[in-house]
Amino acid sequence: MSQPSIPNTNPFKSELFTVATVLVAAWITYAMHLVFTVVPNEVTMGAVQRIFYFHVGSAFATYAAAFCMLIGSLGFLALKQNHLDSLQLAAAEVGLLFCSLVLITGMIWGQFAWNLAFSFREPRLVSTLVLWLLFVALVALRKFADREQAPAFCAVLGILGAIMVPVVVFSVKLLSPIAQLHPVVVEHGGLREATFRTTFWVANGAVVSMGLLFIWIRHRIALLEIRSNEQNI
Amino acid sequence: MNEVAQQITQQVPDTFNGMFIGYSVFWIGIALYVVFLGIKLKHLEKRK
Repeated sequence: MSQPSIPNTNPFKSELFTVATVLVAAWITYAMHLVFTVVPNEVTMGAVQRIFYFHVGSAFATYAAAFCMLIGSLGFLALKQNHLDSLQLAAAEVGLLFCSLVLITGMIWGQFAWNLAFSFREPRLVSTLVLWLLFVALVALRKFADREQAPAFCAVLGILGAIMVPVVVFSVKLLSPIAQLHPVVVEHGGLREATFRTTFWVANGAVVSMGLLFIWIRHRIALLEIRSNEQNI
Repeated sequence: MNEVAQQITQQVPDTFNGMFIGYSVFWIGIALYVVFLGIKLKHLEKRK
């Protein structure tokens, strides 16, 4: 299978990168403005509830990364092309970043709102932890496995990681809402106030777009690494 | 501030610290990843 040409340019120096970064930065600034100056404090939890906007956004960014990882993994197994392996690598790394942020911000929110940072009885928390461990395994495998074999192993593990996402999403349905602490805000018709809803979607969009920007940059860097390795051989 | 508004303000728990720590952790994580990408790119440019 012929490999597409690998770009030999610094991704930080392209015009498209500059435009995308400015747009994402503006979107995030607007989201932060809404979170900190427009939405009022939630009555029962207070200011800590504002973590919710970027916590859920990070979860959506993790799912987006897992989707890119699935495309990269399936594509690599079918076509054996370097750029698809690089997409898988980039998505796994960014997925690990955002999944870590979901877990940490969730634990901080839980500690301050319910006095409980983590519980192994919560399906959403445990399934997210499993997803995080899969991302860790992917990054570790890429680092320590044999360079020739790593792409195929990572592709298989990447598919497993992507399969874990629906488990995380639907895990809250395993127990009744009363038996678990993790809130199911959107499905239960929460966020009735227009300002809460607008802020929620703007913040989600901002964090997901930042995640996709990171995947794009990391993908380009991974391609540059491949080219550099080929030139050094 | 009228009496009702004062009561609501008193009932809302003061969890500002949690929000501050949460957002600090979020942005520190993002900043560290950006630094990691920058270091990777610098190494690549040196190898050229």
